[in-house]
Amino acid sequence: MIQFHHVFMTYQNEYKALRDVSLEIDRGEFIMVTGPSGAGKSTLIRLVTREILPTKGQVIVFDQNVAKLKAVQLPYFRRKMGVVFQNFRLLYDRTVAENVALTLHILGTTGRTITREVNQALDRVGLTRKKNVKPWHLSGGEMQRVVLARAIVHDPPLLLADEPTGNLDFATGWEMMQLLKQVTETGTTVFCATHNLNFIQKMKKRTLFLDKGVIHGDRNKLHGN
Amino acid sequence: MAIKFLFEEAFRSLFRSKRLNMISLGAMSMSLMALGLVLVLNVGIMELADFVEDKIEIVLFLTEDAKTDEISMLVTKIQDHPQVIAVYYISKQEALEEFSQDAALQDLIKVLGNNPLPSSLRIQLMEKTPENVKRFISWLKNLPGVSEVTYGGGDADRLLKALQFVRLAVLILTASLVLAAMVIIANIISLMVYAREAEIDIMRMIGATNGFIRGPFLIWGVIQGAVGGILATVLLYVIWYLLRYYSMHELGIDLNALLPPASRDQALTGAGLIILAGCFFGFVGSLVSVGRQLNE
Ligand SMILES: Nc1ncnc2c1ncn2[C@@H]1O[C@H](COP(=O)(O)OP(=O)(O)OP(=O)(O)O)[C@@H](O)[C@H]1O
Ligand SMILES: [Mg+2]
Repeated sequence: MIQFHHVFMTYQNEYKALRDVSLEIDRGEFIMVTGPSGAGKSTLIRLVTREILPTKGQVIVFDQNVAKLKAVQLPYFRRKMGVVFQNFRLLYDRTVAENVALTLHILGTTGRTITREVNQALDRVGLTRKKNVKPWHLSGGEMQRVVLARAIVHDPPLLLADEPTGNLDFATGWEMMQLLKQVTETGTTVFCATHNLNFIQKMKKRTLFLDKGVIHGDRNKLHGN
Repeated sequence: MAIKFLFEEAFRSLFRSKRLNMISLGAMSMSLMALGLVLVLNVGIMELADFVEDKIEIVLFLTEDAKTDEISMLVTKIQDHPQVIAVYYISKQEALEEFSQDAALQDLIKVLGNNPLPSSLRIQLMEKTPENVKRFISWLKNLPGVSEVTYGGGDADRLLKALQFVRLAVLILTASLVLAAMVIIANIISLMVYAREAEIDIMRMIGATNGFIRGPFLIWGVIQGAVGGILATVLLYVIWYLLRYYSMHELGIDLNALLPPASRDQALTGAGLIILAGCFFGFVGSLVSVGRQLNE
């Protein structure tokens, strides 16, 4: 589903955010990436969403080299993934339901289907009661769940979650992790970045250890600790 | 993409930045009002031009000794000319009657004793281009029984030219006003796109196409144009109403009576045209601006 071949990422300020990263993620996998702040976790995810292009090497997603995607193909490429952004990226002048519905509007869904699928997604993340509330009336954990609902409402084959437990206390963060786990159960590949080692330990999933842009370990759940 | 959603998004931007909307609406209705004035002027000038053109006729004075059968032969000959619409015969007597409607001239004729006016033929031509008229007049002059041919075209031509010039000047003025309105709309769209950059970015990340992002802005432009057009026609009507009221009470003139009978229908067509033009300008203004901004 996702392949990195000797990927280097250098931002304009000459800072090498990723150095010679190679990895392979299979369909249906739940993979976590961890590392200290500035290690390059978000950069990894932004390469998959093709928000940025690698300076060197190849990023292959859905069997497509992202560097070869044409501008007109990009929207359709992105519709196959859901993204939980580190900084939420909600539309603050719209209600929770409208934020979630946006994904479906973009996909061209209309009418009752939208209402039904939005309700389902909000039910999955446990936010049905806050449906008609604007995001700034929500707690951090609730906002995070709106973002998740928006990312999964169209059942994408790939879910990218960048620090989905960012500002949450342990209990709320753990709930979020359980939600992500449920998402894999429907066959979705989940790629989750977090710096919280507690979750890494408890989840017992395949984990990439990243530091200063280099992968130092790829621990598969099968191998144990 | 559902039309309903597109419109909801467009209305969202209508109500978000009220001041920007006011500015573009103002610019739009001002330039459309100018356009409306041009339409009115254009109709007026065309009617006047038609009126003046109709009055231009060729007058052929017959010799004193022309006999009735000679005259009727001449009339038939002229009528058979392909360019001629109509020929009227004015006898000496009729010419005198026409002449003596003026009191001063009446006295003059009394002094002269007998009727000095020749009988004449008045001829309406189909195409009153200068060359056409010239050729026709030289043809007339060679016919028997013709003493003189005159053409009242000189002054009329000058008047028509002046009218054309006025029309052109007003047209240019309006074109620049419309252009200014479009530039204002385009710039306001730029500001709105800029203000919504974060939102557009998010939409792109979720997989929105350029069309999806552009659509609401285009509809916004069309709505602005339509509302601007409606405002402009209402304002023009109010101005007309006030003018009419004023001239009725202060001058005792009913302006409606001066209008040609079809002007009511024309006013409706004009209003429709103004609103349509508004939609078009709004659409083009936003298309240009959003297109430029999204092609990064
Ligand atoms: N747009 C950018 N321009 C320049 N440098 C950047 C940019 N984005 C990230 N960087 C740098 O690249 C490095 C990796 O950043 P990245 O956001 O991937 O880290 P991260 O692992 O997600 O960190 P955090 O845990 O704090 O989110 C950082 O040193 C950061 O300063
Ligand atoms: Mg990050």
